[in-house]
Amino acid sequence: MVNRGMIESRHSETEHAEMIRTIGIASAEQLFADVPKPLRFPSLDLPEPLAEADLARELRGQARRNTPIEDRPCFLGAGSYRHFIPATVDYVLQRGEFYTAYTPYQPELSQGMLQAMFEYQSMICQLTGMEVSNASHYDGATSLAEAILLALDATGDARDRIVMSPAVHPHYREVATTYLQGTNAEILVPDDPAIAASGLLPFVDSSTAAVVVQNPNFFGLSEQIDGLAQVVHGLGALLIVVSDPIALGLFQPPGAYGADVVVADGQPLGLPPNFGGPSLGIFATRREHIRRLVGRVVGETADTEGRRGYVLTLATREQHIRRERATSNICTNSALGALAAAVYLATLGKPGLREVAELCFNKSHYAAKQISAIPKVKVNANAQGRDFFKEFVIELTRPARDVNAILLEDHEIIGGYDLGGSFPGHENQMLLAVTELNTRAEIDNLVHALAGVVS
Amino acid sequence: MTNTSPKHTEPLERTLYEQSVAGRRAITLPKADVPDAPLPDAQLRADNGLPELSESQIVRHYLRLSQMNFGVDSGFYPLGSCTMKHNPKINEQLARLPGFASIHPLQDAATVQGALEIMHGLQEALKEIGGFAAASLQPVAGAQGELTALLMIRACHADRGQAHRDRILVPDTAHGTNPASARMAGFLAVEIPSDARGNVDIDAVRAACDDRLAGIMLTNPNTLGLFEERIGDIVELVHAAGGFVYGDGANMNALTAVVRPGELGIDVMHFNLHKTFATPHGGGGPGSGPLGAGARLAEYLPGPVVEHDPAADPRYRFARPERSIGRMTAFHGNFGMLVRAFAYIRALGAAGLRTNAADAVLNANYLRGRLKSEYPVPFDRLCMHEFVSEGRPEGSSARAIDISKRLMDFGFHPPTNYFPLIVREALMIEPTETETKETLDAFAEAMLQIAAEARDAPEKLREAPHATPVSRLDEVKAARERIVTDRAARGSDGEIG
Amino acid sequence: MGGKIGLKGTDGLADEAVRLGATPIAADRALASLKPLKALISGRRMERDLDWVTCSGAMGGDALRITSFESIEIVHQASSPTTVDDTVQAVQSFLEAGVDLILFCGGDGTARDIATATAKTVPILGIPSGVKMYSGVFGITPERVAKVVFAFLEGRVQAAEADLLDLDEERYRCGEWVIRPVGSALTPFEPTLTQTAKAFAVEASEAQAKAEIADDLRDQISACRDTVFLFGPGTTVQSVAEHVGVEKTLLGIDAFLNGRLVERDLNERAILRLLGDKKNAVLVLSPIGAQGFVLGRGNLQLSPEVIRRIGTGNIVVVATPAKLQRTPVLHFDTGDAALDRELGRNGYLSVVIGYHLRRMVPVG
Repeated sequence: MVNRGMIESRHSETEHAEMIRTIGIASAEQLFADVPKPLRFPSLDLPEPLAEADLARELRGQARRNTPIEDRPCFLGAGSYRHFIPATVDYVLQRGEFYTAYTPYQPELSQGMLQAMFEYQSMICQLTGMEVSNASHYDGATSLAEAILLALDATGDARDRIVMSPAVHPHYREVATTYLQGTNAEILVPDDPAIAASGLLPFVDSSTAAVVVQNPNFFGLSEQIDGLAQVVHGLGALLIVVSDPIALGLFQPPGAYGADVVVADGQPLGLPPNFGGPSLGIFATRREHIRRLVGRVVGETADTEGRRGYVLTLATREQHIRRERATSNICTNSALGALAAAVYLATLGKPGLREVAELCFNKSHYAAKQISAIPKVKVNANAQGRDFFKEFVIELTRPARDVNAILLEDHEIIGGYDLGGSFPGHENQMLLAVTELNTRAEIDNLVHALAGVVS
Repeated sequence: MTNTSPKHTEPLERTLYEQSVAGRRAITLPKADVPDAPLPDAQLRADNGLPELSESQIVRHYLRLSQMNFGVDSGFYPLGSCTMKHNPKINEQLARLPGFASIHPLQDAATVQGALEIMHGLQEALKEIGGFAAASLQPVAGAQGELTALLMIRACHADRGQAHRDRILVPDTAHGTNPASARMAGFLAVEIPSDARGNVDIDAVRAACDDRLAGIMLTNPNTLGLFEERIGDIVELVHAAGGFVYGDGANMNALTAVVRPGELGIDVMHFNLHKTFATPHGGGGPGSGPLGAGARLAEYLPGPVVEHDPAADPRYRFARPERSIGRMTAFHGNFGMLVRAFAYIRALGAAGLRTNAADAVLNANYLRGRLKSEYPVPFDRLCMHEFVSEGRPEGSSARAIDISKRLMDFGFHPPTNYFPLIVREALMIEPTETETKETLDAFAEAMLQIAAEARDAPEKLREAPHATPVSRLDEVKAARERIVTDRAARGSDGEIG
Repeated sequence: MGGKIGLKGTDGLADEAVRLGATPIAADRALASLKPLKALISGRRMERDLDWVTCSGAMGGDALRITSFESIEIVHQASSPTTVDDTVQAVQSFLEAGVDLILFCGGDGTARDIATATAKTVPILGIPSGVKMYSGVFGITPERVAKVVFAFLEGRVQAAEADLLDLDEERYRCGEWVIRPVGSALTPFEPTLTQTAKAFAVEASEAQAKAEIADDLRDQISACRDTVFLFGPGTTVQSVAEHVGVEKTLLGIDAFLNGRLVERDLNERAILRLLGDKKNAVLVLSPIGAQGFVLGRGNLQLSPEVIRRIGTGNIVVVATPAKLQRTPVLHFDTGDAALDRELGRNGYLSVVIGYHLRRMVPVG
């Protein structure tokens, strides 16, 4: 590296001089002549540079100051899950041709990513029971926000209200609320978090653009959705379903019960929790809304010689949806997350995803049964008799926060989600997630620990 | 690979569904160690519609697909306004450490202090680089950063009883996401023309400054690669009229450690970590678009953000800015990208960041100098990190798209085409700082040869590319037929059940 | 790609310029278009696939031969000096030959004659060579015409409607220079490039652009109840009105209140009477393509008194991006210099170009 005072360069001195000559300037300083002089080249208070080895040492140190959920009992879910990730996934993600590429604007140089996205769309449509899927959104919450914008556009000016189940992930509700700040639309959420999906119907009227339910819902419960779509449609609104892609390996797809838009967070499909991101937003809908489908969509076509190929298609639709509310600005998406999900789904395959879902179901039911046997601990107290998938609520005799602290300190168990954080008055409740990675021994340890905490 | 036979009925690579055979599997799952619970039969599906393949099939499939893809690791990728620089490999390793990749977003703060320290460190670094009072790492893409910033401006006007301010000025060279974000945030976008030097026409800004002005969206350097020569005057006009100045930080790679946008008067700006701070683009994402804000808008930043109190236990924790517009993503933004960007800044320090900007600008001007005889530059000033040429060499009828496709035959990714719109047949070229002079020279030679071909052998351009797995693709057919799933294409994946 | 083009040249004698006593101008404007066109297509397949049908001698054949185009068919023998009938007969022959485009030299009068004869079956494009070229079917320069034809042959431009304007000869004879709209014609329109997300530039059609403008206007109308909306003349305003859901005459000024028609084809007195002293009004106008007049050409009903009554702040100017591309500067010529100054006081006019989208356009 050659030091030239303020301006350093990677180029050798000879190269640098030749470049300056070609440009036709006297010195490199001149390149920044347009920047106001008094503000040019500020001295920045940043730590000294680090060599690669020192950098690795420093960041490994910071990584060690976190408690990863990878190799210890973890019962925390609530929108981010510990599922098994087959080795094929990271093998593919580490291919430089994929992860260092930009959005595939030039299809002749991007057939690999384009075909992978096409296959992703194909599998997402199968899983959700929908006809069209985009090539990903940022995460489940932003997918929901844009699904709501789609519904507001599709149902016309007179409808500016969204009826949302209180059992939709509270963070998703927050994000949707932020997104709607630029519109005159509002979200109506009934107070009672235990309300069933059918209990939303009295809130639906001629101003409703969409009804939003999560299934399985935030508390892990299966919603009774049969017939809901027909009523919602009869009232002129759309049905948006927030789903769990793992559950779709086993349970009826939302398309089968009449959903108009299906969104989900795709993190369970081969992505590590990443402290919440990057994740993957799944977004699928019916063909009639294809022009309102935001983000990138890959379509199949042919080259000049008739050979099959793939391109980004419908690229113009955001501009052509004329009403303000439908406009999306999405550009960058979560393509690599979609690639991970595609490899995951291909690796698990038809029987594999079903088995993962069955394991989640069986293990969570085993855990619920064991915990319900602990005196003074209630399981799904507000939802007796309702089915659940991989998460359930337990009610304790003391704040969930304290219980989690004891579980961690005394048992090295990462406990559940403290519901008091989002639902005032529910401080003694915790949402537990049990996946295929929780062993029976882990579950038994948790039960044992909980019994000790409440006694 | 040259295409010789006239018709190709066999695809280059069959889809997963075409390769699927019932009964095949790539993985087995652990046996259940708990008793089966009774499944609710009525809610079950008969078939989840996924394909069935072996592990070796899957690995070969994706390996072959990767070989049909071009990334920065494959070669020079001068895609303007996208900053396709080299992505340091150490950052990939670090972001995959279990202590970063396998932590849950809802874990107790005490168990993720290392992660919070990194987030806090990045917030501080972005404040320092940008000259801002506060930063939020919530937005997960540049476009989301734009929307967030505009929602902040909207909220601030509303708090001041200025809710009638509904106009956002957007220069005609702005990224297409700018007007779209303005509309999403409920504003009316007012397009401002460019002047003869490629700057924002300041008289048009003055004419548009009235009591309905909410703010202006400025990209500096702009998408012509030019530094706004009168940025101080523009900021003053907008501020005097009661508006805010939003900075689109997409082109920040030209200015790191060269000037602080906050000191230029920018009130709020997004950074593209996937451009300026070398996090990989992932084939289209994930990105990350954190915001820096000056004192007037800081309290409106989206949250949570990370706060540091050396006296508290734990020292780092999440908090909401006072008047936060709320949450933009389910959790804390794209943490995996934040780790990479933090590592990048940490490795370079202030000196390295300035070297980057200087080399990015040097490389762009060098290429501009080498190419402008054949590819005229309509606003021919010293440029910043990129420049825009007209892709129509004298004496030929070649178009920018033909030149781009022909470049592929030389092993280069094409520049951005047809943008910005105010330049005809635009070729927007951003070499970035991580390219050597040899690479720049090889690219320049290829471009000059293509210009000669455009005159002497125009069919070479019209029929290009010749060396890619497929030739030019029929985009009209794709848009007309809208085949977006394997099922729609071939019905090979059966019924949805 | 290729096609068949009908070329109608001019000896300058049949043009309205002569009727108005002006000096005939040279016909070599045709060459100024044909030569660059020849250069553009040379070596391309479309060069072989392009057929010309034209008139004899100075009316087209000569110019095509000088430019060495190959496939030329003379389908009309022009009389000397040429007459309006020649124009009509030539166009008939072109249509019978099945042309895809009619290229002509001349001014507004010729444009009008040709437009009448084609009846919007074929797009027409004028090489500017007359005295008056207010109509939207003219290229800005002969060189630019060549590029439009080239783009048309490549299939990159679509045909869209443009306004025809002409001098009101009756009033001209009384000493007034009054340009008025006389109809519309199809002409090749260069589509505007629109941006979606970054790095994507796509072509948006005129119809989409007008629908977007209409959406914006609909918002304004519903926000201003009990305000009279006056829609001015021209194809832009007419088709925007159509998208809004009201039926509008092409050439007149029509008044609407709360989405309902109040009165059609208003003159100056009728407007003043309708507005009376109290009623709020908004005037919707579109500039005349290329030359850029917003007021003072084609809408003389809008006298200074009318404009003052409506209020200079209540004029909504609409134009598609494609139209503005050909119309870089706007003008006011109300006949009242003080009013013109007030209308252009900022040096720029905020023009509605899409839904919730404005553009600051300089005022000359």
